[in-house]
Amino acid sequence: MNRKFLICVPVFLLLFLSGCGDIRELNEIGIVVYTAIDKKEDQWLVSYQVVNPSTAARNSTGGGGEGAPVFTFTTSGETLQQAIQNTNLEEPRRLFFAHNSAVIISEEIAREGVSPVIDYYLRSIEDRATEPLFIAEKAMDILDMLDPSEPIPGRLLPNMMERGEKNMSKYEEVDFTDFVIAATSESKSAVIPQLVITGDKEGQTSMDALSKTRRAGTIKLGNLGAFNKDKLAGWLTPEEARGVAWITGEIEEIYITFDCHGKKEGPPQSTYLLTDSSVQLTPRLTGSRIEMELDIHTEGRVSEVNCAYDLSQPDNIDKMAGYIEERISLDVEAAWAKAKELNADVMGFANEINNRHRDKWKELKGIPDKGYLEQIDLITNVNVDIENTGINQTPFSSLIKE
Amino acid sequence: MERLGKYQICAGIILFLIGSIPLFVTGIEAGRDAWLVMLTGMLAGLFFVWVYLYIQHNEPESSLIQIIRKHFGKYIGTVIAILYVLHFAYQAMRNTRDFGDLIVLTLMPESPLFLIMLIMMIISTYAVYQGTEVFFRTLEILFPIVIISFFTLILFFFLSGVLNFQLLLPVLENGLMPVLKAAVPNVAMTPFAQIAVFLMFWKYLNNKKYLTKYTLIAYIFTGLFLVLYNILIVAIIGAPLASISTVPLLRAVPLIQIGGFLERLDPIFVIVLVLCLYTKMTVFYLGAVLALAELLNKSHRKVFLLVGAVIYGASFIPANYIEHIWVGFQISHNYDFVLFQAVIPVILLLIIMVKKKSSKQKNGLSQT
Repeated sequence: MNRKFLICVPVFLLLFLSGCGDIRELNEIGIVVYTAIDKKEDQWLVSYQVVNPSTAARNSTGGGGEGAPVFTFTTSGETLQQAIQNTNLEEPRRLFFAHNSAVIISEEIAREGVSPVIDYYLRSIEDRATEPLFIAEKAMDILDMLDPSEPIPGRLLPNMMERGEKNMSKYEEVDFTDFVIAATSESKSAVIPQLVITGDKEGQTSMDALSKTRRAGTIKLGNLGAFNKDKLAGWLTPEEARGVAWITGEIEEIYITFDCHGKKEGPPQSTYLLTDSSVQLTPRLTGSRIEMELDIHTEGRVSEVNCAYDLSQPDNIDKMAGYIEERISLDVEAAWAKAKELNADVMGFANEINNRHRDKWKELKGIPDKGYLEQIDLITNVNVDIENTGINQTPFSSLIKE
Repeated sequence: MERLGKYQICAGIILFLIGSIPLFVTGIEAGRDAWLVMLTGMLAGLFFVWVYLYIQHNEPESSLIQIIRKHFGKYIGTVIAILYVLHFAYQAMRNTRDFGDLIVLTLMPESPLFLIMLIMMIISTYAVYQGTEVFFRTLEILFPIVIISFFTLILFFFLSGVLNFQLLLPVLENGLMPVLKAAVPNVAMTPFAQIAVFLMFWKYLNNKKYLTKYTLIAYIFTGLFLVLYNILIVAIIGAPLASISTVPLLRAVPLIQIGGFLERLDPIFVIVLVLCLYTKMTVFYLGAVLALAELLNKSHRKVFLLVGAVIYGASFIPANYIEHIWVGFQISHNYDFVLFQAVIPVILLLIIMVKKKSSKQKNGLSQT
C-alpha cells in the first residue's frame, strides 16, 4: 500500500502542480502600462497604453524599431468593469494589469467623485492598486504622448514623481492606499497631482516625435488637486502645494528663490538650496479658538547670488536668512488661505487636533462644511540657517562693479 | 507510544496560533486600537490556557477524550466526546475552506476550488496518516521558514518606509469599552483559546515538567507577535482600509518597494499563508482523527480517511466566501467556540476540583 501510494504522489504532482492551470504565455498577453479613465455622458471610457512587444524589444536593444513602442486604445461601457471587458472586442491579446504604473483620472470624474474608481481598483484581483494616481483634464490624451527620453513610457510618470518628490518636494506620489488613508482620516481631505500637456500635443503622438531633438510637447506635473472626501474641490498652484508640503513636513530638498534685498516685487535673483528641515505643528487651545503653531527649521546653503552683496559679513548672511524666511512664510500663508477657500483640510489639521485635544475635536466635528477651519489661527515661525555659500563667498558681480 | 519533544510542541503551538491570522486583522472593529484588542484578548485567553493546563496536569497521560469520559461518566462523556470530534472536524473544515477561497481569490483566480482544497487535503491526510510524531517533526522544520519569512516581511516594512505610526493615534479614542467588547470573548476565543485542541496532544510530550513552561512561552510569543502584526497593518494601510479589505496583509505587502528592485514580495506572503493554514487545519484534522480513534478504540489509521472525507465534503457547504466568514464570525464565535473552549472545559475543571477536594476530605477523615 505504502509503495503504491508513493508512486501515485509524483504522478499527481506532475499533473496538477506544474501550474499550467492558468497558463498565459507572454505572446498572448498585452502588458498595460498606463490606464486612463474618462467619462462621457454616463459612459465610462477606459483607455490603455499597451506595450507593442515587437517594436519595444527592438527599441530597447538600440536599433530603431518600426512603429511606436506602445499603442493606445479606448473602450466604453456602463460600468468600469464593463468598459474593461469590452476591450476583448477590439484587442486580440488578453490584458495584463500587474505592471500598470499609473492611473489617470479625468477632471470631470474627479469633480463628481472618484469613489467608483477607487472601489474598482481596491476590489480588483489582477491589479495590485499600488500605482500612483493622477488627474488630467482629458485623461486619455496623456496616453498618446510619446517621449524620446523613455521609449518605453512605463517608467516615465513614476520616475517623474520620484524626482519630483526628492528634488522639488511639491508633490508626494499618491497611490490608492495613500488616498484612502487621507480621505478616511478625520480631515476627510486628500490630494492628487495633476498632469498637464504643454506645447503641441499632436506633434508628440507619432513615431516622428522620437526622432526629433526638441520635444514639441511634453507631459508636466501641473497643480495639486485638493479633494474634499472623494470630490475634487479645487486646485492648489505649485506654490500653494509647496506651502502644504511645508505644513505637513514633507519637504526634503528644495530650491527657494528670494531677492537679496528683500524686495517683494520683481523677479527674485538668488537661490537657497535647502538640504534639511524639521517641522513641528502644535495645536493649542486659546479660548474658543485654536492656535496652530508651525515651527519650521531649515538648513541649507546659498547656491545662486546675482547681486553685489558682501557675503563675507555674518550680518549680511543673517539678513538673507530673514528674506528666505519671509518667502517660506508667504508660501505657507498662501496654502492656508487656499485651503480655507476650498474647504479642504489638506494639511490634516483635524488629525492634529484630534490627537492632542480630543474633546475639542468632538465639538468641532459637528460643524458642517469644514467650518472648523475658520476657527483655526495659523502662526508660522520660520528659522532658516545658511550654513555656507557654496565654494565662493562674494558674488562675481561685485568684482566687476565699478 | 509516540513521543514529542518540547521544541516540537512549542513550534506546533506557535504555528497553530498564528494560523489564519494573516488573513484578517483580528479586532479591527475597534479601529486603530486593534492591537490593544489583541493584547487584551491574549491576556484574557491566559485564563483558559490555565484551565486547560490544569486539566492536563491533573491527568498528564490522558487525552481530552479520556478525561471527559472519566469525569462525565460513560454516557454523557461519550456524547460530549462525539461533539468534540465534530467540533474539531468543523474547525478543520473552516480552515480548508479559508485556504481554498483565499488561494482562488488572491493567487489562482482561474483554478477550481475543489482542486486546491483537494491538494491541501491530500497533503494533510498524508501527515495525519503518518501520525502525531511525524506531523510535529514536520512542524519543527516548517517553523523556522515561517518565522524567517515573517520577520523578513517586517524588516522590509521598516526599510521601505511604508510605516506611519501616526495612524495609530489617538489611542483609545472612545475609551476602553470598545476594546474590551471586541476582545472578550471573540479574540480570547479565536485564536487564543483554540489552543484547547492541544489537550489531544499534550499527553505525548515526553517530559511533562516542560509542559507549562513551553506552552506559555509559545503562547506569549505568539500573542506579542500578533500584537505587532496588528500594529504594523494599521500603521501601513490605516484602520478604515484594513476593515474593508478581505486580506489586509495582501494589501500591505505589495506596498513594499525598496530601491526600485525589491518589490512584489507576495510569494513570501503566500509561503506564510499556506504553511500557517496548513498547520492549523492539520492540527484540527489530526485532533478529530485521534479523538474518534480513541472513542472507537481503534487505530487512527482505520478512521483517518473517513474523517478526511467528511471534512472535505463539508468544506463545500458554504455557498460563498462571504457566507463562510459570516457564519464564522456570527455563529461559531458566539456559540461553538464558547461551548467547546470555555463552557465544557470550565465545567470539567470544576468537576476535577470538587473531586479532588472531596477525596482530600475523605483522606483527612479516614486519618483522624
